Amino acid sequence: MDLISLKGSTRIVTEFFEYSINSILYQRAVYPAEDFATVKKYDLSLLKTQDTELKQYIREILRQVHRWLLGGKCHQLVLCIVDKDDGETIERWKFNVDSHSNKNDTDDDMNIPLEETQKEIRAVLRQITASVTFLPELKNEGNYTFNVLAYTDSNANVPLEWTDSDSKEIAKGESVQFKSFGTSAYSVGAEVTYKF
Amino acid sequence: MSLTPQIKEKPLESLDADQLRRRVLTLQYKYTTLQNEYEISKLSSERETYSLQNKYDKSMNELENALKDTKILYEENIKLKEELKSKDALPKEDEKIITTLRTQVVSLKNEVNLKEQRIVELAHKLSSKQNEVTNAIESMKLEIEGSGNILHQHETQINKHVEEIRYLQQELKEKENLISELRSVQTSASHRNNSTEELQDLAVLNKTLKEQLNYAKELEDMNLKQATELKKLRQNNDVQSLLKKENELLQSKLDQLNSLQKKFESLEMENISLQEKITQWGIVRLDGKFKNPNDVITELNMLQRENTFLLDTNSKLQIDFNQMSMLNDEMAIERNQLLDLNKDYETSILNLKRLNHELEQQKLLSFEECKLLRQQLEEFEEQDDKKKTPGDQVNASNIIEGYKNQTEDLTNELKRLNEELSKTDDKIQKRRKITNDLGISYSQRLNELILENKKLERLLSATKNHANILEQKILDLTSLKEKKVRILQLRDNPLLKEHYIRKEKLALLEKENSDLLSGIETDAIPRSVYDRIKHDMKLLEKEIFSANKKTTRLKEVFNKKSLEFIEAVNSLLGFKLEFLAHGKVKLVSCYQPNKYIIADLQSNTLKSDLDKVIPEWETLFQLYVIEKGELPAFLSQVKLRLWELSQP
Repeated sequence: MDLISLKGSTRIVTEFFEYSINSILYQRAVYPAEDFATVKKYDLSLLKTQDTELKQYIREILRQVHRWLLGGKCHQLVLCIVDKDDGETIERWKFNVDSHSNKNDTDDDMNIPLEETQKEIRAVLRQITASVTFLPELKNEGNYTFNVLAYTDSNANVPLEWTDSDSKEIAKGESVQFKSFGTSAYSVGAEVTYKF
Repeated sequence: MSLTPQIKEKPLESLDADQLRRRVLTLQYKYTTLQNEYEISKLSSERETYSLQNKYDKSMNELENALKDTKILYEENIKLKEELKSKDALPKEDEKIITTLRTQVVSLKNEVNLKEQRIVELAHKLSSKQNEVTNAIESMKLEIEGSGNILHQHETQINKHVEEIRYLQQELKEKENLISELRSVQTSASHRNNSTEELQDLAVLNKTLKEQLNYAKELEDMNLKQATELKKLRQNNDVQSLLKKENELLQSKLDQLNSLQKKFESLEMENISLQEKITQWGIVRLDGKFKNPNDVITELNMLQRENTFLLDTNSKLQIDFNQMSMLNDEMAIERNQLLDLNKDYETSILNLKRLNHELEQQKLLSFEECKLLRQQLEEFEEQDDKKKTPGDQVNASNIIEGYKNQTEDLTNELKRLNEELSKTDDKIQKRRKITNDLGISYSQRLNELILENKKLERLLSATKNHANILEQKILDLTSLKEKKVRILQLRDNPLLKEHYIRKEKLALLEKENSDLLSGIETDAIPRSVYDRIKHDMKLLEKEIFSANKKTTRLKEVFNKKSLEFIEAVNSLLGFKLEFLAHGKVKLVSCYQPNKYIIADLQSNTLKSDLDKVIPEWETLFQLYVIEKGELPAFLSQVKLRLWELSQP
């Protein structure tokens, strides 16, 4: 696979991460609704935060994730919604990233057109938006915070701003698998685990 | 009152020598009188200055006395303050005593009761003191009121006197004028040989005047005295106000003391109830290692875990014990079997003994038989010797040898049987001994085995635990080896921030709590309270910041939406709407942006400068607004006209 397509694929994936994180934070009311503004992306009206602090935090995460993805060091990104009072993880949104280079597939099989990728991303984002219907209501609005975990290889370069964390798994939680999407370099799957 | 006719002075030119002499003489007389008057006034002024000096000295003395009084009062005040401080210190000492007593609450209850009685006595004393102070205040108030009344009376009297003095001064002036007039008249009349009656009148007048002057002086003295009294009273008033303030302060302190006493009583009650609870729970009997309830809870958790573990081991031991009891039963059965076998052996021994006895008897019989046979043989030999036949001798020797052989065989057989019997006896004895020993030591051995079994079980459980730990370690190590994935998070993430804030708050609250608990005896507020409040303030400031941010965002959204609305109205309806103050709306048409219509919704009026642009404005207004009352139709018509006008 050439470097240009890899970079393009990685950008698509990180962009998807950005919009999905924003959508989750809006849909699950982790941050107030007035902090978000509507933007057009993937032929969808999506919500993006206007809070500079939060924007900076997401940007910093995705910049590093982008680097790790390019190096093939990142396999999973997890967004945990945590109760502020007891530190318990209420929801765990998992995004698996499978690199095609690991599977020794031929290039011809993996040439996915951009329109197809965008269509698949739309489907995933719609599912994330619709997940509010089945997810349990987060009763204490404003009493939740979040954390983003990146699953990397043990030999990945880790900047000083990053530190190790526990997996923040939900014991005996219910899991729902969402659709996945693929680019020429990656296939990304999404899943939510929540406390039932 | 008309006294004498006015003397009309003539000009000097018109006077003759005699007249001039007279004039000179009168003037000389006037001069001498004036001189006399001057001397008199000088003397009087000297007297006045002397009296004033005396008064000044008196007032100075009074002032010094007053200063001394104030000094005494100041000293008394300091003493009172010291007394107050000592009074303040007294409850603190009591509290200290109480704190020391608290530590010995259970053992020194009697002393606590005594202290309580003392507190009650102190309270009584305090209440009595309070009553005394209130009585003193009331008496002081009454005194103040009385002195105020006196002051008022004095003031009125002074006013009266002042008025009288003024009146008298006026009269004095009048009289002086009169005197001067009279003197002039007298001088003029002296030449005219005035009558003695007038002189007498003048003397009387002079006397009355002197009397009035004296009276005025007395009044002045009175006035000065009253002024000094007034000063004293004012000073007293100031002192009273100071005392009043002090009393108020004391009162407030007394109230504080009362409230503190109540608080102390409630705390005492609470303490007693807590002590009761402690004695109920038997915490006193516990070790000193439990410094706080958390230690007890953790210890309890540990003990619960240990208990569950012990229950598990107990159940295992129960199972093992059951197995052991089963084994014991089996062993008992075996023992019984062995005992039966032993009995059998004993019976067989008895049988063998009997057999032995029989064999012995047989042996004896055989010996006797041998003896008889030998006797017979000897008899035969004697008979043979007598007969002496060789063939018979050979036969007899053969028979004897056969008998000898038989006896030898029998003796050998007997020996063998004896040996066999002795061997079997030894074996039986040995077996019996063994079985007896086994029977005695069996229970002992069983106990030993049980103990050993327990020991082994303990060892087994310990080794099992050890094995589990080792297995866990192995698992951990294997997982560590297998762990190729790292889970990473940003150090500066919202969750950790939140945790940090909460930890900080917790630490501050813990410190505040400990400080407050340690300083419960004193009134001082610890610094940690201030720190905690500062932290809370910071958090609240953050909240305010976020709330402000929220409002600004909402405002932005609102402005954006309103702009959208205005744009939509402008583009769709052709009028740009501007909402003015007092319910006025300015409408600017897109076809004539320089002109406007102002609709006042409050007064229901319409103003515009479009009447100069649209010629038929009045008719349209009359038709659509006044007749039909359709303002939207009117505006549409206006818009249409403006569009028509804008077309080239």
